[in-house]
Amino acid sequence: MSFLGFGDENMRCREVARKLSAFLDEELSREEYLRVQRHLEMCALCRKEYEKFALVRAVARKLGDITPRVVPGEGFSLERAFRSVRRVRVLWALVAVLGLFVALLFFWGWQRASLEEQILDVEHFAAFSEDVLTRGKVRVETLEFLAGEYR
Amino acid sequence: MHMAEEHALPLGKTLEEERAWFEAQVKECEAHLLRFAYYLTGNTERAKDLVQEAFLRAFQYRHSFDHRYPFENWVSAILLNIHRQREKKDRFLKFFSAFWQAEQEDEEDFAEQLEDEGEGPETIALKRQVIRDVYRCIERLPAKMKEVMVLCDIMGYSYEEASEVIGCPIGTVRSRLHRARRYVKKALEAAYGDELLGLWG
Repeated sequence: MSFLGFGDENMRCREVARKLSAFLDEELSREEYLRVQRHLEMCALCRKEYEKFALVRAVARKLGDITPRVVPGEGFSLERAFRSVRRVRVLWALVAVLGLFVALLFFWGWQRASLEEQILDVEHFAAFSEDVLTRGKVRVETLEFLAGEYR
Repeated sequence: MHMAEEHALPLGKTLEEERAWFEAQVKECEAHLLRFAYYLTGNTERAKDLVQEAFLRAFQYRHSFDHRYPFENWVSAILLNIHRQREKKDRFLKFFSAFWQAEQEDEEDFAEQLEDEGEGPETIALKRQVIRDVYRCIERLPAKMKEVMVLCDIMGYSYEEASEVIGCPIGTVRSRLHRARRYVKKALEAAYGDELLGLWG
């Protein structure tokens, strides 16, 4: 197929190539269909392309004729479908409740840990204060002793 | 397809009557929809699941069904929408799951079901191989092209019916189908070269 294309007075190869698929399915207007048909009678290269398209379609159609084994033993029943939806919903509700419970447990644990930390801090502060006060007392006594010596 | 009167929902009737009407419609098109779902998903279990959800959603929105159009096409459109939503979710999951591929593999080689019509073992083996190759090509098509090719080529819908199901103009169906077939044709040309035209008889 040349760049400019071979064709009758109205249609070139490139234009035909775009319409081959619709031509194959007879989904073109009567006028367009006849123009493509005329072109195909004259152009061997486009005819070859057309045959390849036809092959692809034929194989795909054959594929459609082969029914995959997906038909279930028992047909669709609304009752059964609703039951399965309810089952899934109950399952999700259980998962949600469980998730909430775990989240609450974590929150409770975290709160408790933080309270314990606060208590530890208080104890630590008390010990520190006592130490400072004791050391302060020692320092005052030392000062008094030194003052007596001086006197 | 079917006559419009057969599909008319018994409006103003009891829920039981509506259910009976719905189940009768479902019975007619279930096998067809299963095939459609199978070719979209490429997996038996996912296809069954998809059809189940499509029917449920169809029942939920049964009052919006326009009985001038075939019931089958209406449910096909619903099924396609659910499939698209699931594909989006799957893309998201695939991004995070390295083990996704293992789950995707399917079990059935349905090309084996192609019957020998007195053509000889070599020819039938070659035909089966071509069917497998075309199926693989269709599976790998971009989603929009795949939808059109499954509807028009595999399921045998007209452009108009396909445009109803997909929800796009006929011109879009035409161009997508052309591109999809060209893609498959190129893949076959690459695989079989000049022998391509002699493959199918």
